[in-house]
Amino acid sequence: MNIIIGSLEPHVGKTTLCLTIALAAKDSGKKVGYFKPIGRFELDETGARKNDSDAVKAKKLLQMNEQPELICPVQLSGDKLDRNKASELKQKIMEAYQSLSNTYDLLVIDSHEEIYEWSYVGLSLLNLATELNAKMVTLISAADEKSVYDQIFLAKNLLSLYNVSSLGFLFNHIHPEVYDQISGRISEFTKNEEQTILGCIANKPELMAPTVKQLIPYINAEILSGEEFLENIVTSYLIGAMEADEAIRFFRRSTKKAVITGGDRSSLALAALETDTSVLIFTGNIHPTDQILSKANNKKVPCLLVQADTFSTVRKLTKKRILGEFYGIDDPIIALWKDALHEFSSSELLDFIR
Amino acid sequence: MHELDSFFVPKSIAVVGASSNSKKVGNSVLVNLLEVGYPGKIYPINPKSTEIAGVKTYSSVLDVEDEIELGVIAIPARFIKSTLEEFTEKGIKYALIITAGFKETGVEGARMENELIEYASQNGIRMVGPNCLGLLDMNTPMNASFSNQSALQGNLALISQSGALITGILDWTLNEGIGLSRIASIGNKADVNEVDMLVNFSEDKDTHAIMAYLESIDDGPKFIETAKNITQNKPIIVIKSGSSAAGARAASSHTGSMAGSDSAYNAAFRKCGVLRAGSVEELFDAAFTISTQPLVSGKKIAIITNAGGPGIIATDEAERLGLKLADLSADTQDELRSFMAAAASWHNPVDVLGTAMEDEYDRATRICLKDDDVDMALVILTPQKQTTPKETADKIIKISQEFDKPIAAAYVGAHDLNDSILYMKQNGVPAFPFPERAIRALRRLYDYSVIKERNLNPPKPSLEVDKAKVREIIDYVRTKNRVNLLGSEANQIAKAYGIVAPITETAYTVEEAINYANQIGYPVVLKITSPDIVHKTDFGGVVLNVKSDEEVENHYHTILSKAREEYPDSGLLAIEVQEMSVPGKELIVGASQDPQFGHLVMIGLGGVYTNYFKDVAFELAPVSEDEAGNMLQSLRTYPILEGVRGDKPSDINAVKDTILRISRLVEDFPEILEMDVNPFFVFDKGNGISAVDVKITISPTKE
Repeated sequence: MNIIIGSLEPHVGKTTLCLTIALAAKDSGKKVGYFKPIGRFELDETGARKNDSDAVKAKKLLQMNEQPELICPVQLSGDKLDRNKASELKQKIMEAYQSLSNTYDLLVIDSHEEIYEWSYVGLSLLNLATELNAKMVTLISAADEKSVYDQIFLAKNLLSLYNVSSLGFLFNHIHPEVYDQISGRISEFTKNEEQTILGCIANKPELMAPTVKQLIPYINAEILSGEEFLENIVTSYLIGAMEADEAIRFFRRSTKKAVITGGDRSSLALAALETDTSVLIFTGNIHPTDQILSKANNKKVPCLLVQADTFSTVRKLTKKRILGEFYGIDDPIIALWKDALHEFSSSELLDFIR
Repeated sequence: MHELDSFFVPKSIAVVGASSNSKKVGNSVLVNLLEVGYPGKIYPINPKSTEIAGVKTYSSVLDVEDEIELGVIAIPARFIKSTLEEFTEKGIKYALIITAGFKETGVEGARMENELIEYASQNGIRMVGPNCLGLLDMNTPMNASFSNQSALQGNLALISQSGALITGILDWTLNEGIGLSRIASIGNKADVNEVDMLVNFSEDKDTHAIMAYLESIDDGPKFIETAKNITQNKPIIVIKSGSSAAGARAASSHTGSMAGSDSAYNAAFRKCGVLRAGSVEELFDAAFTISTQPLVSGKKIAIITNAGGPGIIATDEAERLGLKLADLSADTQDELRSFMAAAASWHNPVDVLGTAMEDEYDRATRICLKDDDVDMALVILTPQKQTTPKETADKIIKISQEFDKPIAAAYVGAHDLNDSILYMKQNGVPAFPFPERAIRALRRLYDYSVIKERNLNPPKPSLEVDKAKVREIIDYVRTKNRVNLLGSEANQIAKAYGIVAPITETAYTVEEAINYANQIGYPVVLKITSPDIVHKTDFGGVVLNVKSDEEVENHYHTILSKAREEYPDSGLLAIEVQEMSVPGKELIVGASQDPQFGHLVMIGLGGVYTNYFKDVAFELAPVSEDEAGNMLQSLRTYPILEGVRGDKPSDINAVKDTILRISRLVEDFPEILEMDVNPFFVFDKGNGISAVDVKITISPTKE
């Protein structure tokens, strides 16, 4: 039996969870593959198409021999799809699935956006789950009690509408302390609805956070110093634009942060360095003094320089949440993720993949 | 003999990088050593010469047969490591590194500097510098610097983080006739820093007062502990630059160190009895006056002048700086009147008239100083045809030697009076061209006299506190990877340390909120609680006087939805239900960990105008009972707490007690980086206080 990771909202970390689950399952000796029936093609620098990046990454991480074109057999632009093309695409998907399921004991199945994406052409994971012999794990991205109930209720009904069997629900956005307070009532609710809670994975911000290195392309930054510290994790973004006395109070309230400020604001940079800072980003193409760079280096904080002003830089970093990614099997974040899986309130997920 | 004396009284010196080119630093150092008449052996090191300025050179310290005590280094940065290796081989334990191009030039320079620090500490070499002007000792005499001048011989020592400032000061002291004992340019402070120099100067018998120009202090607590022991014996007067926001910015980009808040520096200096000067002139005036005059037992000054105007200027300045004009006794006034002309004034300021000559000055000053109400005297002289500056100076010097009360002179002028001013200084009388400078210097003498009387190690106040409870809360917050405490947690911490605070509970559902409200009893306060939201009132996150279950339900949802709108990224949102407080006089109290000095405890006027009046007082933890009292009294709003216009006095003792308890809390739990109680209500005397809103930020767990 295979497993689908689905969600009611896009961009909530499905692929990361797929890969983590796949890696955890591999640890127990199973042959595990990743399958993304419908993905997106991307464009390279020359404007030519290249493969869906999730498929490319999964191939590398899980050391799959198949080509990305098989791991993700249908790669679209994301535009509207003609209904009469659907059967042709479905055939492609099923052929790829057959081929993969011959090779692997377990397939972890991903979608590009929500679980109902492409349902109007009959190609959503809801439509395909039974034929892919898969149970669904639904990520609940609601942040408060009422919305949690709404999402669980909606998901339950969606799954039963399509006859998809549900493995359970995972919370990945609700604050763990809020979850602690209300989990009793949530379990009661799900029990009444005959559903299973698998666990809450939101209590480690670093699981979803990008490294400094991942931020660089978003802001087109030049590395001034601290190249060896680019793996620092960034969980928040703060602008430094006040007097140093106030700044230190402000900076102390956030941890593992990127501080974005003008290169001429030495005292702010120094205040940031007195607190838990992951990277200093100097804006407006104003070089900070050498003193600052050497102090930052002592504190293991890399310094970046960007052309853009402070406001646009922060906007680039925050307009869409930048999610952490992992690159290789040795990436320390993978171990953190596996730990998180083991900390779940229910063992059903782990039992299932073993 | 202090360990670092080898830097000031070495028996022999090697100058590595000595040069015959007068534009080179290595040449200046050698020439300065020769010109000042350094009595020990000098070994210029230069592989390309045989002799420089008539002194035989060596190509390496290893070629010198005799022992070398101090090595001065003025060669490019990249060659210094190998020079230190030669020092080790030769057994030279003291290195004065003048060369620049280290930490101040960036990452690569910092790397080289760290390499030197590591090498030196492993091989037992003490280093001064790099990036400094050098060292001088005018009693040795030794001038191992590239300054343009040497100083006059004297008893004032100077530590400076700016090398160039020293050269300016040296030039100025020659003009002012002020002598110096030791001068240290500490540069990047790679090894020897201001604290080491303070200790050294405190043990130097030729140094009577220590002056310092500092841009940063590396180890605040050590500075305080060290200075505390010294100031009981010798005064320390400091210019700490960067007191303005722009100055602080300049200082941090200059030194690459965090500009701690100016309040922290002031509190630190108070704690260890260091005087702070606002200018170089004030620094020297204070140091000279304190080092030459006896301590003063009170604030009462007698002013003896031959001109009304300067007498009034001096009086105004004295009052402005908190000195008091002495009330001369009837006997004193009678005695003065017995010899003075009718137009003269025998009240203080005593006007001996423009025609007064040395004898009138002499009699008037002696009579005043004998008066029990007079603690110190200022003699003001303006030059008339009849005036006898030199003879009067002789009288003042004599009086200064005979009386155990401080005396200073203001000879108003320069051209004709400068000789007399210098003459008085040479004879240990602080003399100035204007009365304001003299008054300021005497005020500093008074300040130092108070410091000498003060117990700098006050007893620890006895307080009952529940440490275990606070430990438990902090540990819990850390398991949740938070640094900002919820209101209810912060509130419990305050209570555990005996600070009265209203009951506060965190509700995660409206049912919980209603339950808590009923337990507490209506009316209650509802507040947004989230570690990410500081300014709760700004968006309607606080509702006072909530009176019923229905109102709780109404506001619960409104507050939450406003908060979600305002702070969409805030993960943890809940509602705090709090007992409604009776308003009292509004103060703020708190503590903040200063990166240099540790926790700074703060009290101030609260309410909406806080940020405009900035009526706040700071002391460093641990705060003593006296300090807590002084903090309150230093507030401009203090009289309001005492009760004005028929108001009852506030419970000042309860406020003091809170200051002590917050101080103890941050002392016991240094991981509390910020604590803020705002508003903090104080009620009428006997009715105590209430810490209404407590915010606490702790340090993240070290990984």
